[in-house]
Amino acid sequence: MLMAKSRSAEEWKAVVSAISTIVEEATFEATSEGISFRGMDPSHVALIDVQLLNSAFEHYMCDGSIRFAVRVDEFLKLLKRAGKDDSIEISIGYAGTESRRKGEVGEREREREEVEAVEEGSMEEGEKGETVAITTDESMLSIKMVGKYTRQYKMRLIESTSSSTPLPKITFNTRVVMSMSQFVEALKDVEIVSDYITMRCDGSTLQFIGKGDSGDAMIAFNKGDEGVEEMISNGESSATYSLEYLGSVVKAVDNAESVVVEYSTRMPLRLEFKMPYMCRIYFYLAPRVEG
Amino acid sequence: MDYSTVVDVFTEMEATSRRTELTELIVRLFRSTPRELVDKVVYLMLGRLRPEYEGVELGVADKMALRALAISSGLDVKRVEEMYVRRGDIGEAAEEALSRRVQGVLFRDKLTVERVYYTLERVAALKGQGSQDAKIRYICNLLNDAEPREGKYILKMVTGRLRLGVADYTILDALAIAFAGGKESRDVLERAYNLTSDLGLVARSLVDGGLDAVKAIRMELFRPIRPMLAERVASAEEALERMNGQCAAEYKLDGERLQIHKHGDRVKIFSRRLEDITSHYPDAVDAVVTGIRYRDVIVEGEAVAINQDTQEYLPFQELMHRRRKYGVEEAMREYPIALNLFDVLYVDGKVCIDLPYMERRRILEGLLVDGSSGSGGSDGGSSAGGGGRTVSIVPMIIADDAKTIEDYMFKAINEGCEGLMIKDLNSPYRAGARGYSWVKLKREYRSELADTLDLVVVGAFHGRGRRVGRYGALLLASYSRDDDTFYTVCKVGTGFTDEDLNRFYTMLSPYRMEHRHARVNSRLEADVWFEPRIVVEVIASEITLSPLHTCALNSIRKDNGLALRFPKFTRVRDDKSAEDATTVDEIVSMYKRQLKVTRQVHVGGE
Repeated sequence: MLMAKSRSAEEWKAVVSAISTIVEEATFEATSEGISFRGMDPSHVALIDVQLLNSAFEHYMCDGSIRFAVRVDEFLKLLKRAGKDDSIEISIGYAGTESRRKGEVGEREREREEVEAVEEGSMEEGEKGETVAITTDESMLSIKMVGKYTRQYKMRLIESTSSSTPLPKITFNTRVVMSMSQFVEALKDVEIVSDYITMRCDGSTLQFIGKGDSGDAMIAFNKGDEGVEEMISNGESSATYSLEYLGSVVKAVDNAESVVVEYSTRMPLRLEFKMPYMCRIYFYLAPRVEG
Repeated sequence: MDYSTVVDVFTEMEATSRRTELTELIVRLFRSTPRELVDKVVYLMLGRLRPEYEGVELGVADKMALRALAISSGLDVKRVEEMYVRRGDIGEAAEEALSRRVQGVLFRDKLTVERVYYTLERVAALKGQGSQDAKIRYICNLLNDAEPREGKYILKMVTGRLRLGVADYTILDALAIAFAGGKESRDVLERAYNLTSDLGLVARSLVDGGLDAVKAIRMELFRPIRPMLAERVASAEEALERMNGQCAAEYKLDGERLQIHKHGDRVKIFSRRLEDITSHYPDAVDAVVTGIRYRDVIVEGEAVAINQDTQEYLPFQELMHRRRKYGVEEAMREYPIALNLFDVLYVDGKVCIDLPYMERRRILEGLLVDGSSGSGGSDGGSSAGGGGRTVSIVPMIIADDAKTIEDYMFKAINEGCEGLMIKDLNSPYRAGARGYSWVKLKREYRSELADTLDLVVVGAFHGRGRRVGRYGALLLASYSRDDDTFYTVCKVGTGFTDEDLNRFYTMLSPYRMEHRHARVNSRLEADVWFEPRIVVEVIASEITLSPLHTCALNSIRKDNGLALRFPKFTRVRDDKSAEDATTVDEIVSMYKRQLKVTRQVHVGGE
């Protein structure tokens, strides 16, 4: 059983749309700690590692460890129905609560579940009469959005994969923390002339360079500039990455507040998107190995 | 098992053209293959994932394959396309692009045969919207971990271009040597292959259960049997000699050979090449479901396009309208078929292939709900098209002299057939074998008739379908000045517009008669007779001998006249009187000229 309630759906939207840029089917794992996802695109160029900690939710319950898999585009379609101020509750096999009059309750099973639910202290008191737990299907993901009115979706889960994706074992020589909006703008600047971005950093300046048929672009950030929170580099690092991968994931999580950019020369890039809530999104991208 | 092991052998196989060497290479590959992968390796060697009849297609267009290659290598699509154009081979383009790859990956794993096979299986399973992108992703998944030479075979495979030039029988030889003690066991494997059309299944049975398991393989519904094939003979005499003096002669229709499997109302149709072509023939499916009285059958037949109004056979090309994904329904309405069954391999639990021909024919004739068979001699023209039913039994006679066979052949040809199939009365159905138990007898010449002919309408046949209440076909005759008589030369049912049909009716009504006109000489019984007055122009593919028509009867060949093959109406000749029509003598000389021309062409061509 899983139940995770958040004040807003924005976090989910960002996470799922980021995932949608690399896979079509996603297996999530829920434990008492929170919900996580780790997956790689089929060509092994990009990897996303997400953790939604239990503290990120207004209300969180999970007994044991649950793996569940969804079709990412379907899940995203449903999430997009949520308004900005709607709260969202995602659950599996969770006997949600509803108020019923006494006469309508009779089955032993319902009574048993009611007891369990009470023991877990998850019951909300109905306005009148007794609160009664309703059985829900383990093969469905239930998505409830509450704003001016209530929407409730049930989405069929698909078969989850059992293999787990490892994280690349790499060290980073360069680390830059900057505001997300500036990072997004800089990528757009480069995208105009090229499909690739070269990052060059010596510890005092970070350059984003694009070379294309029509011309070149160079965007520079200096240590201490507004929006640049941190810049460290062990020697000079230079590496090139595909904007196709980078652009789409960055667009998906553009409500992040800041981004941690880490990489080494001709080695994979890691971006950590700092979301407004308690959610961590890591994105890994393999470099271009030209020349 | 490393995919590179397979690729190494494939590379060597491509470099040799000697069959013995090829066999040795495959034996070596089989010996280094884990048991559970032998069937997969067999399929991969054939450039497939499953036996052909299952219709599992990877369905990857060159453009998509190149896109995957561009993504995996990190090279520009344009650059990859240019490599393809320059090398002229998608496999070589892959090899080049991957050896110059510029996109790194986070992890790299070795490719295994298992992974390649199962990933490609997923590619094949993807259908519908968005499947193209997903296919590309799976292909990228393989290409990313592929060495350049591995990538070469992956792209050849997904685009259906893997041609190692290995024959089915070479694989059977190799299986026998690798797993059954030597070539002597090949016959056992071949038998199983002919009954199942699935080399992978034969290989799997052999490694799992040895020769005994292969011997135990039986034919099964919905798994096609490799068809029995016929040799060609030059003359009726030769055919008879091959058959020891007595044989069955069946119409050889100019259509598509179908192997039909039926279980209740579930039907599958396989082509001669064992592709599943059920979707091309919804009408044949209906016809066997309603027309065959047994629950389970495997039968073979020829589907021929017919003219709905005249029930005449049409040339093979008309069937091609059905070879498409969409619009089969319309094609079915516009170009209906007649299905002529000629053999039965299985009926309700009884395997028939080992029975002699005559016994199978007897069973075949008892299959249809209303029990009509195509047996019989020259009983007029009614046998063509099976009398308007979609499914019938192919016309057949038993013959023991060349003359009877030849006459029957001319009749068949004039009705739109290619010739005859001559069959040994005692022969079983030899799956997958070409031999002299069945032989085909065709004409040695064939030509195009350039001139049009002006012929007199002497009779007509009632229309069916859209033509009910009007004439479906006209009986046409040529004129003989010698005895002032009109001799029939063809039935024409094509080339009319709806308007023409209405016009004929009004135009011909004044000349309608209760019986045949005294100046008309005909062997056919028309539904309606006319006084010879109206002249029409027709074109035809050629002039053939025919026992049905009286034009020049006996003058070229005993009991045969001359007839037009595939005649088509072009216009009414109001300007001509019946006596101005093309004469019998003219037709005879056209026939002789045609023979001369074709013989010259024949000689010149050799």
